Amino acid sequence: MSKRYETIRHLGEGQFANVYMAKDLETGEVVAIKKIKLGSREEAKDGINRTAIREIKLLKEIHHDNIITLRDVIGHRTSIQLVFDFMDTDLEHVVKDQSIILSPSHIKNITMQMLLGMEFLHTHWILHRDLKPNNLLLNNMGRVKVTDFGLARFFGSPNRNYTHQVVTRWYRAPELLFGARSYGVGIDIWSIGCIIAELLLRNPIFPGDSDIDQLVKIFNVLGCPTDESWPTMKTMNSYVNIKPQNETPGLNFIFSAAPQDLIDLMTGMWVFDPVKRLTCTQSLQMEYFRAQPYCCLDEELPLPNKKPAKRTRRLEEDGSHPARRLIFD
Amino acid sequence: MTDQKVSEWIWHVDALKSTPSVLAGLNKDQELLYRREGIKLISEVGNALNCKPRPTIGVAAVYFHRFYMMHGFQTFARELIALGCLFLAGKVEDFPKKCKDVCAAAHSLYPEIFAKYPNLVDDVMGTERLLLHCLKFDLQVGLPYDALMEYKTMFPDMSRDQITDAVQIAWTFINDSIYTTLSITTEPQMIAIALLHLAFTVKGYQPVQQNMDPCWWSADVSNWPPQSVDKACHLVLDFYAATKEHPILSAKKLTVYGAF
Repeated sequence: MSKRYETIRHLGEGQFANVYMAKDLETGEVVAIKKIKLGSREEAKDGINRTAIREIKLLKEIHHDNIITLRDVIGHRTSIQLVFDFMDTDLEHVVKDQSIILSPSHIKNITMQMLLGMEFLHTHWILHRDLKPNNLLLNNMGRVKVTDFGLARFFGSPNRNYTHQVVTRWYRAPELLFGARSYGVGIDIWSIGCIIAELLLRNPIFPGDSDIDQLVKIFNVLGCPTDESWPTMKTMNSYVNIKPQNETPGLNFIFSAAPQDLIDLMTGMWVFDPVKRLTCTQSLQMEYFRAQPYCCLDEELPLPNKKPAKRTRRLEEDGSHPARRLIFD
Repeated sequence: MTDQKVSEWIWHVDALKSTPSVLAGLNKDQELLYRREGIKLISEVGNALNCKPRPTIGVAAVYFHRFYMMHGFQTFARELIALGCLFLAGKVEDFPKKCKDVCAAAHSLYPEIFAKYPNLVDDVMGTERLLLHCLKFDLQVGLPYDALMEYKTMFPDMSRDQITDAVQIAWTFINDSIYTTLSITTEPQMIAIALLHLAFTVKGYQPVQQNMDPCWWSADVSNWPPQSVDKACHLVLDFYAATKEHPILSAKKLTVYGAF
């Protein structure tokens, strides 16, 4: 590690990197350092991992409160380290923590922060392509930040076909499952819809265990797309005809506790035809954000293991409650 | 050096008189020739690998020019840096080329230049890390092409053929401008303006503006006098003049001034 940062502990290991918690000795702040693996032979064959390069390139350009900040890059002969803001947890942990209760205003706050970050990315012509709860980080100030730009890329460049093998399957938009090779902001919006659903249900809404099963799970909830609702569907590379289930329960049934304006938002994010799907900007203008209950304050967002601020009270030495006193200095 | 900079990656023209290479003994013209040779390698090896001027070759060229504002040609061999820039730009721009393919193309196009590198793949890979560090990981580079495309719709009074023609010529000028130091002294948008202006001049087109302002670019870049625009154009014209007499790397050998 560089002299400026002092490692506190190892946080985890990913496919391309080890992540450490460290202290920035210059500012005293706690940071997360992602150390890109260079050692293995596989990697060494073609130099520095392309995912890391892509991430660095994008993050150097974008600065937004709801996007993880790349504070520093340390390049040595033997390693590359990316220094990020330290974030306490991520939405996957929040969703899985049974002791956490997510109120409607918590969910509205998280949804809004998520959309603001993604709106910023999209207006800068960047697709994230891998949105899922564990790529949405949360710090103890209640700030949500989008992270993991290894798969992100600039879009709109001409003559480029993209791979459709992006986005963790459960959050993958139907056009990707049908093998679309040119796609747009709609794939991120679809994932956001899935994440909102997961905040409500505390379980993934479309947990497919294969690509076909993924489509079946989606169609079982939303019904099957038709030529009318999605005219270009049958032109896709790996289009398959899936027989619809007789009855779909409808979103109102699945999200029985959710208000109609939130159902409308999700419905708009899950429009089959990507062209007609909501954008981030349109989503932010939906009735949902104008209606009560409003977003909670950021600092009111619950974190795992963060007990609700308990009032500590000191007892007198004999165990009796102290007499209430008002002291003004 | 900092006072010679306009912004992080744009230097004042005067900075070219005191680059690391000049301070270490090359003269300015010699350095410009070295730069052209390096870019020629990027361009030819890139072409062989099916890379396009926009973006891969263009971005690689910008990396190359920036690198030699921080280090001298005497210390870092331009044939290695050139391949490193191309390799890195391929990754950055999502047209990745395998390091061994880059090296194989280099060996087959310029056997004499690369004969002294039996382990070229390792050398280029080492260069990649050096580059990342020197470029401060600022990998995203804007090229003049995007701005040029925007100007396509800026002249409603010109005929469609004329503007298409001018833009096409300007596009070629931009392709060739990578051999000059324009990209490290001039913002990409200003390069686009200057070279479109040059295209208008070459073709004798008069871009008509409602306000009769001869500087049609003044809405985007104000107070940029025509003389300065002309100066930028001359850099490219000088390049054409210089290479007409002496095509770059025509003997497939690098030029060597003095011994270091």
